[in-house]
Amino acid sequence: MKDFKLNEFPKISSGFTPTDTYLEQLNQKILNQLPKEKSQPSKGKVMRISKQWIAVAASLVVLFGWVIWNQNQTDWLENVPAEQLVLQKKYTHYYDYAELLNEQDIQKLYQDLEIDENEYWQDNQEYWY
Amino acid sequence: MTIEEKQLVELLQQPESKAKAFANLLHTYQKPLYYLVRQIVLLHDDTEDVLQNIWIKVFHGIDNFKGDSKLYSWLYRIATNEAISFLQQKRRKSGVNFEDFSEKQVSKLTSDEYFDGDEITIKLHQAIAKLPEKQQLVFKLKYFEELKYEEIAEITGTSVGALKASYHLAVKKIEEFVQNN
Repeated sequence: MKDFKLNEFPKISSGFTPTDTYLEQLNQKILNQLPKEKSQPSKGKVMRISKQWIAVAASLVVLFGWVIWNQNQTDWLENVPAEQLVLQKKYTHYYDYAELLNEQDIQKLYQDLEIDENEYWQDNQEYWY
Repeated sequence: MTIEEKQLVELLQQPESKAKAFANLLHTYQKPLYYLVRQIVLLHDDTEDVLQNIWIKVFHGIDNFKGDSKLYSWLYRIATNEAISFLQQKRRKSGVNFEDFSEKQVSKLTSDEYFDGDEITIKLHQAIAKLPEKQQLVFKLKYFEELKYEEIAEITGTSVGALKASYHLAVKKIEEFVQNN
């Protein structure tokens, strides 16, 4: 081609032909990718605050749960006849018995139940201090 | 900025109206930005990738838009920078020089999606691929996108005088290429 002059030549198109359908699909794709903005504290901030409060609440629950459980155990111990405890060997720890019964009562209990004290404590020595 | 643009920016910068206003912005500018980006990166798939990045940047950046320039200038600036960065990254990964890379991109055009250019269109793209990077951008924005020099100056940060000189040189080189090929 001789003496080609661009401004004298009919406008040459770039050749790009995106359809309206394609562009609309692209728009939707982009909109679906965007984060959802809300008119309240950012999600990150809410999440950070919530996690802290959840941790505090969980700790309190565990603490109260332990206290209540402990209290229940003590209450339970107080409500269960001492003989039953001994027979069941549930709370064979010397400390537990000491809280419920004095030494005399414990001795009497063993006599009544015909439990050999030495044998009893030997069987349960893993619970001793 | 026009009153409509100012109103749109206000809506974009309020959380409760941002989503709807952004969809509106997207519908208005998607097509021109598609053409702008594709002029720079040439291939359709690359264009789509770049556009997604652009709109995410626009979505997050609009909160800080001060209105110092027109909204569309701001959009075009983001789009141009994003497209150029993408292309530079792609070229670096390919390990070839700028001219070889440009020619390679053009060679893929004929089989690319949403392209129906004829022989002269291909020839013109081949000629443009021979130009230095900045001249290519100026030529494409002026010739294909038909932007005014003042608008190109706002997008590229280059003076109008420099742009005119760049375009004039680009045209001369293209004419020479087409004549000889």
